[in-house]
Amino acid sequence: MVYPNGTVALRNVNLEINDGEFVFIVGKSGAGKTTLTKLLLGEEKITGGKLHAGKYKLERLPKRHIPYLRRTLGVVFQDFRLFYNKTVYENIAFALRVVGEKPSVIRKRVPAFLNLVELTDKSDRFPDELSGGEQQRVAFARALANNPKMIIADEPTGNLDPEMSKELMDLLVRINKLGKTVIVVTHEKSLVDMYRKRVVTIHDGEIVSDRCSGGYTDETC
Amino acid sequence: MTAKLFPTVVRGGIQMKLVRSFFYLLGQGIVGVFRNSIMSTASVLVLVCCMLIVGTFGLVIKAVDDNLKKVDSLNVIVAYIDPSATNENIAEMELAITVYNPDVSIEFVDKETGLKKMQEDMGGDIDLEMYLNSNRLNPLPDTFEITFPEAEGAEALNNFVNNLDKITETRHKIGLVQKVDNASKGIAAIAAILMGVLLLVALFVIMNTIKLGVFARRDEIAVMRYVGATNTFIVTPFLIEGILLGVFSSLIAFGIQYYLYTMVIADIVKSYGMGKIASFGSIAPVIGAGFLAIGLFAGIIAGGISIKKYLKA
Repeated sequence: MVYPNGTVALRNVNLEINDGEFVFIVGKSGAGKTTLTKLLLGEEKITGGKLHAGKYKLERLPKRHIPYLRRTLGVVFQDFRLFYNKTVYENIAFALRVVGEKPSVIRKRVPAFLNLVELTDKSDRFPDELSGGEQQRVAFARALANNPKMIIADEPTGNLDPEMSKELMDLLVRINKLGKTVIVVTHEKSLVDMYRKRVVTIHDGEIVSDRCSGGYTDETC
Repeated sequence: MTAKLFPTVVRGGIQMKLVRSFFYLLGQGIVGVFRNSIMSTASVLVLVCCMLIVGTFGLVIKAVDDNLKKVDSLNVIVAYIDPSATNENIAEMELAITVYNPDVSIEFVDKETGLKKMQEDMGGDIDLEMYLNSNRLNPLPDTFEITFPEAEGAEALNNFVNNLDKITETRHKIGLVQKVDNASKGIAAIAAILMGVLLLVALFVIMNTIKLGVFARRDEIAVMRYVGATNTFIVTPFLIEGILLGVFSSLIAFGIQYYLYTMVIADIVKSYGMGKIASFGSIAPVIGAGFLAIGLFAGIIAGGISIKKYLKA
């Protein structure tokens, strides 16, 4: 993947993530982690090679199909990106409104997701009234609302303290157990070590290691 | 838990989803109008001014055009017939003129009728009894009054009539007709230029109004894209906002135009003795449709341009 200004962001990347896997993508700032998520979301287009996400072949995906690709992916960011003028309930319902979901379905599904992220009693609050961890849980509920096959979390614990980070990672593990593929982009090695999942390390745009469970001495996948 | 959270049932057809989305987006468009109420008001005011100038100019031109030609008989060539002309000569000349230009209407006015008309024109209080009773003393000749539909070709028609054998001379106001025509065209051109400039200003103001809304919602638009919103879903509220501003402006302009026409223009036309003007009811559909077209055009163009750069994937 080469940006228009000539920067080579990713090269010689050969990576396969199966349905239902939990994968950490780790690496220093500027290593190419964010580029990888941008490629998966269709925000950038690869300049060579192949990239498939479910049934979508991203190397030749027309722009008009990108919204439909994104409905199969749930994405969560470090800065939450919630609507601060909408309640927690409305934030989650919004994702369903975008795809034209029935009000009756919205009324049923939003409370179910609020329950999953343990925010049922805060559904009428505005994001400003919640802690960082709670805001991120709202973002997870919104990402899950459209029943995506894959959740991409870009530095989801970057703005959280260690205790909240662990709570959130526990939530991600639960989401993974519901059958969702989970990709967590992070540079927090302590968390990676704690959860013992597959870890892909990127350095200067290349995959330098791909291990089956977190830690430095684990076997290569 | 899985089954409850992620049901796999089919949830309504595509048409129903579109209808639901449309009503949601319509609501968002209405919210957009009130979000920047000051700029929305400015947009509506400029657009209303633009419509009123176009409408008023158009109506004034129509009233002047209708009346000047009608009242002053401008479109008439009066041809004086030689006293020696026989009835056959007169019939032949009438035929020749009709053949030359079938669009004209020809009225033969004998000298007696001509004198009566002159008496009426002079206010009726002049005593012409002596002349009226004696055909010999009546100094007026028989005439043709030839009414032509448009100034173009009138000069040639006049020359043709003038060159007929038993015509002694012709009188006409073709020059004035052409001046009136030119004046009407000039006013129309000024109106068109003003309309163009004002329409551009209106577009600019509406664009800024909507851009403010887009800017305020840029984060929301980014999130909309991440959760899989299509471009249509993102653009529609802004287009609806533009359309609402346009339609709202056209309604206000229509109301003001009604007042201006019935109270002001009609009054001026009457007080200057320029004749009658058409009732507002008869021109209302054209005015309404015109205003609506301007409003929709401005709203859709402005809404579309404002959001364009936020539509990249």
